Amino acid sequence: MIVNQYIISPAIVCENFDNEVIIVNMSRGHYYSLRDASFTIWQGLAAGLSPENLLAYLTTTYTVEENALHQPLRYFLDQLAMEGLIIEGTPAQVDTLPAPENRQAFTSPTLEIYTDMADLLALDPIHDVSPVEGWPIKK
Amino acid sequence: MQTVLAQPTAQSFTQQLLDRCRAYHPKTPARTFRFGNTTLTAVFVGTTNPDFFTNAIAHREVSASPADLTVFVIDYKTSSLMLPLPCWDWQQADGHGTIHGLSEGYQGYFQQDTGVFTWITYAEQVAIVWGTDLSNLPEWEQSFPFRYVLHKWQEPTNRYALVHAGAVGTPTGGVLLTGAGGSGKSTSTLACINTALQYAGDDFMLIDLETSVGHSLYNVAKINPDNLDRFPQFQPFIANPNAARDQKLQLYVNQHYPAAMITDFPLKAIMLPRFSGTPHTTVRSATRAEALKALAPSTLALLRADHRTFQKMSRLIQQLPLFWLETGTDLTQIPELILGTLQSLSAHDSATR
Repeated sequence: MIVNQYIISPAIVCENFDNEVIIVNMSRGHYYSLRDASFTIWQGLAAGLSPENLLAYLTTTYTVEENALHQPLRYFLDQLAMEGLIIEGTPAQVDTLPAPENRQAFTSPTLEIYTDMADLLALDPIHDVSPVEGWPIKK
Repeated sequence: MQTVLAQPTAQSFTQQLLDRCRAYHPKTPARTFRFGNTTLTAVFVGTTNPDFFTNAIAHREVSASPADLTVFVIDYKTSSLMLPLPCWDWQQADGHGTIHGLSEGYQGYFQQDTGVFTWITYAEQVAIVWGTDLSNLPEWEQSFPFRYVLHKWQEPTNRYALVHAGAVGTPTGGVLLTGAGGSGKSTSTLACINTALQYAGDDFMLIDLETSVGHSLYNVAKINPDNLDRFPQFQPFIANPNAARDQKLQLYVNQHYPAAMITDFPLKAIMLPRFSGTPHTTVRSATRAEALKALAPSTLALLRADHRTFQKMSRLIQQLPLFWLETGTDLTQIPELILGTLQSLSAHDSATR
């Protein structure tokens, strides 16, 4: 499905560094690292750029033709959406990103996924509740 | 005429529960502990073994003083003190037992596997830890009592955060040691016991972000059974020598080596241990992203923490120098390298002052 606009999910937390953003999705128990082109795309998403404007921004940042960006960008955005890091929506505002000083070589964006936190977040849903006392019955 | 019963509210639930606690006799004498700016008084209702909850925090015990937070620890099996009807629908509990949608100022958590319910009310400055049978709690629970209560108590503040980390140091400064399970955090802290460095914990620390002071929470050192042969000096003092092979052994440092404990120190650095695979220990700079990846995920997961704690951890790593501590098999080098790093940082501070 082609989505006109994504926004960063309000359910995640993230922190930006020089060329890396760390993202935590507590509901899934995963955390992520985005670097290089994936970091640039995340900055664009955070600034409220549409996929079309992201393409244009990437061509000013990297020595790459727009045609070569369609597929990796689409694949990467799909990955972010599947992991619940971005959702369809209209950004509250669109910021202007600074023009890069020098265009750099492009490498396809990758999403580094860390799943070790999920082991600490074992689900233990409450099923049986005492009808008299109103409290869960200990297993 | 039809009588309509008032729906219980978080406030009325709390009041009923506190009335039942206060009416219960006899009570075990209350114990008071101080963690950073918080004086916590623990009141035991029917609990036959209060030491289970206090051994790990014995080094933080103070004489009776006005409490910022009173925690009632209730054992249903021995006290028959039942909880009032809940004021929420259990559909509001997520898969981890956290109850969502409560009125502002209340937090609730039901740990299904242990049957322990925790309730915190900020306005009343009270927490409740209620269990169907507290004598049956898993051993590991006694190594970090009240962690959820302490975390939730500090979560709304800008100043304090509980983090998943160990710490060692001296009164003039120490380091936070953090990393995922298996990174070597426990090995590093164990290697510092009875050296020039003192021990502040290997699991959770309370951090004052305004002053960068680390406050020890738990005096328990944990040892993987497979690692015990590297620390034979601790073998006679293991509190749970018959623990299952997949459980960690516990050493109450405050009981056996009280002089090795330290309660608080200014933090001078964060170190990220990992095994070097060689006999030697080395120290090299780490990036802020590497430090956040080491510190944040396990803290968030183990404490069920939210964005506020994440933001506090982001602040913390901006405040301190960051290093990889690549630990070798020669354990004596670990405290030497940590101490050497602290001395270098101190010398650098003096030179730039």
